[in-house]
Amino acid sequence: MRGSLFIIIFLGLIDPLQAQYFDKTYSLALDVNVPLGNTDYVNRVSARGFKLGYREMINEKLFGGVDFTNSTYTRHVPRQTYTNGTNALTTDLFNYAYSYGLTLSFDYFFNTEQKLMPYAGLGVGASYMNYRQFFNVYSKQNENWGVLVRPQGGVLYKLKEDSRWAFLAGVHYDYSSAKSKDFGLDAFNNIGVQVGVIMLEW
Amino acid sequence: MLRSFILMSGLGLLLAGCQPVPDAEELNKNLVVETDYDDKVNFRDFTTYTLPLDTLGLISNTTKDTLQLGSYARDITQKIKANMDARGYTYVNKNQNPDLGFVAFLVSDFSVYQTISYPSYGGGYYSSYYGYYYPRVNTYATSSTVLILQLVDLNTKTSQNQFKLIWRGFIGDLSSSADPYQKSVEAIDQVFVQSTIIGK
Repeated sequence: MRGSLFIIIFLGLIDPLQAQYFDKTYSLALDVNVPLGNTDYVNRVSARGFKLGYREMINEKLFGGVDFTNSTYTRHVPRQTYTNGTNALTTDLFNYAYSYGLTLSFDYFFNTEQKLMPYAGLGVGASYMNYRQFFNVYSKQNENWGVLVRPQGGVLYKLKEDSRWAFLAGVHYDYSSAKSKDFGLDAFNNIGVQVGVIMLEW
Repeated sequence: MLRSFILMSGLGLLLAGCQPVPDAEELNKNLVVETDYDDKVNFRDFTTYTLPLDTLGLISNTTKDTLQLGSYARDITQKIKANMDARGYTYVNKNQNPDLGFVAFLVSDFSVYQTISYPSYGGGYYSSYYGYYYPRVNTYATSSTVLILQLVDLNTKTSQNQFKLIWRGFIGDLSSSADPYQKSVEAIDQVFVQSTIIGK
């Protein structure tokens, strides 16, 4: 009886301490991006993006995992005439760039015990860019793969210290080497802001 | 918790799968006008032209008619004639030995295709509760119409004994336009605006 009481008291003491440290996270965030490159082709802010993330603890402050991102950039070019040698084409253009990224990502947390947990990280992986140009019922597209490099930083905020949920806010810069010869486009880069939720598991 | 995440991920992937496209009304607001010409031809060398007024050619998989008549054909051909006249060419009848022949015709395609999907209930189509399931047939239809303009040199024939095509224009898509009549008549002017090569 005395032994059981001791164990219960011991677990009561140890549990709150263990609850401070999460070892896996799952995140879902809205990703708002601004294109910095190829702005002749797409120039509008993309509010349609999102990020899915998964991390596992490497050590107390360093986490590694994968991120999957998606965003769509657009531009409307009003009706005008394009001349190429003997050929002339008059139309308005709806330029779209569908961007997908899958990165191996590492985040360094400056602390993992408090309500507010700032972090900085880097993701490196694959970028898939689908450039598509719509005009009337016609369209032209070009798909390209490249390397994606994404430095990122942000904060997690828990409403309670032992909460398994936290809010996520972050900024990132993306460089994608996916160029399009068909559209005459160079490597793509953008900055973005992410706002979402993150689940902490331990 | 993982289940919730998988659910959210699935939702995210679903969103990713739906690549947004432009609004159809905006997309089809204006017709596409495309032109091309033979740069070895001097268009100033020609003086007269002919054109079947009040009539357009018609190539369609929904009718056996080969001519489009009526006010649309009249307005289109009159617009072509006005532009050719303004460029300094003289209209003549086809029996008056014209230098150029102007051809205008519509190409219309209507296609229907179907997909058949079978419900997958253990490989068969019989359910003890609902009875037999039948395959579901989805029917889709697409339609497109383009107005094609051609200018042929009636003084020169190719090795295939055909008149030489020296210029062409393309206006589309009329089927998806909210106002194909007026928009295509206006597009005739644009055809000539972007074809400064045509003229005496």
